[in-house]
Amino acid sequence: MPLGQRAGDKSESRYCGVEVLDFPAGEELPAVLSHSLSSSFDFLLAPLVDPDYRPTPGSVLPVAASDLVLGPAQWSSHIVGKISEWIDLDAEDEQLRLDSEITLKQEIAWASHLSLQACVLPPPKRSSCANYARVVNHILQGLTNLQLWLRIPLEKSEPMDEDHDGAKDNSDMSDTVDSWEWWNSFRLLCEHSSQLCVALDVLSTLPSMNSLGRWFGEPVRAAILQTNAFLTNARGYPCLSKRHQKLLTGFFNHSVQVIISGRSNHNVSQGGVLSGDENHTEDTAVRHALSPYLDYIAYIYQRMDPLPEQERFEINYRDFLQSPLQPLMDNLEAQTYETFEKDTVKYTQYQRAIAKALVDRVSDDDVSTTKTVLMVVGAGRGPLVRASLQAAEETGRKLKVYAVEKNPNAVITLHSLIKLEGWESLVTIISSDMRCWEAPEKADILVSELLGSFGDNELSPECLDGAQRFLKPDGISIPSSYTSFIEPITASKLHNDIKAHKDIAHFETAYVVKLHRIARLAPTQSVFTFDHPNPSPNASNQRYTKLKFEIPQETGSCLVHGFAGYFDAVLYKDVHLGIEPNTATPNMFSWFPIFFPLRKPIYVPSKTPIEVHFWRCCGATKVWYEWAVTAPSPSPIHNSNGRSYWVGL
Amino acid sequence: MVLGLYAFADIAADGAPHLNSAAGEELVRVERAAAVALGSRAPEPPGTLFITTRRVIWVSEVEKGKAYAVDFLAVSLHAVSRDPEAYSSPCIYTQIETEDGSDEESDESDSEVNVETELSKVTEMRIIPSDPCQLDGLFEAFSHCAELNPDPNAESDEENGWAHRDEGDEDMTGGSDAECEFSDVNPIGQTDEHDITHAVVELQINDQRFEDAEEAEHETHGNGH
Repeated sequence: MPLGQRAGDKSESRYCGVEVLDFPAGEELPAVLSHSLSSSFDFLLAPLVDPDYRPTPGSVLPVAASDLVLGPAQWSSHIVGKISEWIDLDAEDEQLRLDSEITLKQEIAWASHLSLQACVLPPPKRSSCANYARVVNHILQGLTNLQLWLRIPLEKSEPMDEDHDGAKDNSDMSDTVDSWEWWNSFRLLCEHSSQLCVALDVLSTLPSMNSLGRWFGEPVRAAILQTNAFLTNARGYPCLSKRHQKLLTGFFNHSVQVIISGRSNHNVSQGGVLSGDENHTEDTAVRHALSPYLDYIAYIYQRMDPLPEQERFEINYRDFLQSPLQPLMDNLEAQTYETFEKDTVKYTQYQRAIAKALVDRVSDDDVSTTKTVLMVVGAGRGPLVRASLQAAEETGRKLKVYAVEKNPNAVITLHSLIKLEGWESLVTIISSDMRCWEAPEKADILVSELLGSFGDNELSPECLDGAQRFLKPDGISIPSSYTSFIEPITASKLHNDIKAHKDIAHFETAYVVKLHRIARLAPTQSVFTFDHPNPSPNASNQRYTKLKFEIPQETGSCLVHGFAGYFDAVLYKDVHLGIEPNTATPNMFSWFPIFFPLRKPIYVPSKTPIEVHFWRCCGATKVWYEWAVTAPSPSPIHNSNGRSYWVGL
Repeated sequence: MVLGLYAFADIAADGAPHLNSAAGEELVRVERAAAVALGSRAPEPPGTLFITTRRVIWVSEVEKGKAYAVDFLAVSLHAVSRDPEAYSSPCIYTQIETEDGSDEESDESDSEVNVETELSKVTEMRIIPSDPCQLDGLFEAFSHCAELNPDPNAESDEENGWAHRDEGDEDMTGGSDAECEFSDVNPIGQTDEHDITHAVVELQINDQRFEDAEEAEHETHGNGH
């Protein structure tokens, strides 16, 4: 049964499995399953075929149990198949290699027949695994629902920095082990198949935190927790080190299922048994040898905080690719406005910024005689108008508001709002595109919320430069500046979702996505910055930036699937608003990050910097980004001439 | 629906239960000389097991008028158990969803009234046929009837309020069709369609069993390099 009840968590990581080490011969499997289920485990990782079997002509596969003994629903829900561990497709011995290929295919075919959801493949036995990958790739192309989980031990030896001698460096290189490299070689050879995933064997020692972080961007489906990884506490019970606990919590938060494996190393007595009651003792089921480990795993799960309400709301959008909005070219729908207007944190920040600007603009002495002219450009259905009027009331300043909106449908709503609130004498509605309108007077303050996930990607610079005509020479723009940021990420799932479209255009499009199963490989760096008022309003908003990212050495090698993009805006002075991870405004949900994919993921060896170029290009009718990696190996320039993705003016 | 095990009294003169024919209840399988064990208690003497399209009814042959029933909607799990280590006799093992979800079993005296109160708290029941060869057939009947009673609490696809653009260039559409296909499958480990939202591994979070160990200092140093 589930490890616990955590509000908002519906993921599969609530279900814990146990590995069957000995082949369950003679129809023992149903009994083993029943025993495990009654001991609160949820599924088995079980051998499908007798490991002593070797293929001979006409022989029948000696399976653990036929589909007459367990029904398809039981197989599908409660068994993850374990492919025979003796299989070695890169063996020197030709007979072993051939036997391995035949048997692997037979076992996978049997698993498909049973409707299993997943099978665990034995780990690569050496760093070279080309033939193994070839056979698996062949199998993958014929699968529909079955997933293959390649078993990978979670290990990485640390290179010794003291050895500067060239000869020793070569020797040291051959001794360096990083199991991530095995996984990377294998999945590259298998063309990044979406049905090839990872089952990590968690051992007693763990690599560095940065190194572990890589796996959260990979399709890890299970963590096989060895009993040897557990420590013993003062009471003789199994427990985990703090680093293992942290890793486990990370797995739970990323839908990774735990499978407990190994022999019991802790003999904890069952204190609750009434030894005096002979009748009772006889009927009590024998407790599973690994139950103390399961109890501990459940303890770690139940100790986790509930998912925050906002996370629960957004959980269905995790790693879901969306096209960015085009508010300048398209008219937004009521539902879109409705959703964004619920972001109270955003409008609180705007209200704070407007209040500060009002106080700076009009001294306390002049409050009764001075009226501030404020223009909301891109008023939508009015939330910024409301924030402005509330700021005026809060600061005691008098305000004259112009609400400029080009969407005629939103203007209808605006009229209703102003009548409803009795703001007729304070607010004038202008149904016009701010780029074409001629204002009757200059404004002291210009307020807008034209920001996209990358800051300028909804063409805020083009709009606000056009609106600068309305502003007094010493006037204030809110926002006063905004900056975009990027960082390289591993994101297997996003890559596979884009690949499913089978074209270049989708790999040259930026997506808005709530990033979840990703590895952030290096700290963010800023890309483009825009200031308002623009000191040179007639200058072009074209931009070009070259960036270099250094990945920490202890991370090891990694694969870059693309770049996560964020923004941070200075609304006014110290009032910020943004989603850049280091400075993100808490509890805001108007923006998800943006993702710039690479057509081909780029392998980055350890200690090698990444060099990336970003361009912001402007045409007569559209604005677009181009991006390319030039080191460690060059990629094509993505979205050349805006051929795949652009934002309409 | 009724959660938990309950006493059943509507038995005809020939010992067969009256079915709710008006509600479409039909008999699927009868098993003579089957014992039941409730929770960790000793098995009751053999009776007759009736599996209908809606519930499992067991009628005692020794004690007139004694019978138990449980709706299939409350049976969250059923499995064949043959391992003597798990249970001494081959049997059908079932888990029953109860009203309060508590695993607590009282040690109260064995009076008639208390027995009846206790029924609703039973979370495990084993059906022990006198002939173990009948287990597979019983399991099949259980599976068939469980499918006839899907969980009404199964999660519905509520549409989230988040904005999705339908207009615009179709090529720009994000998201993946594969996503929808995959999410239709139950997660590995989930029992049939019954998502038991309140039956979980029971622990006392402040249980001293889960204290951290003293971690060796050399390990810390090793990781630091």
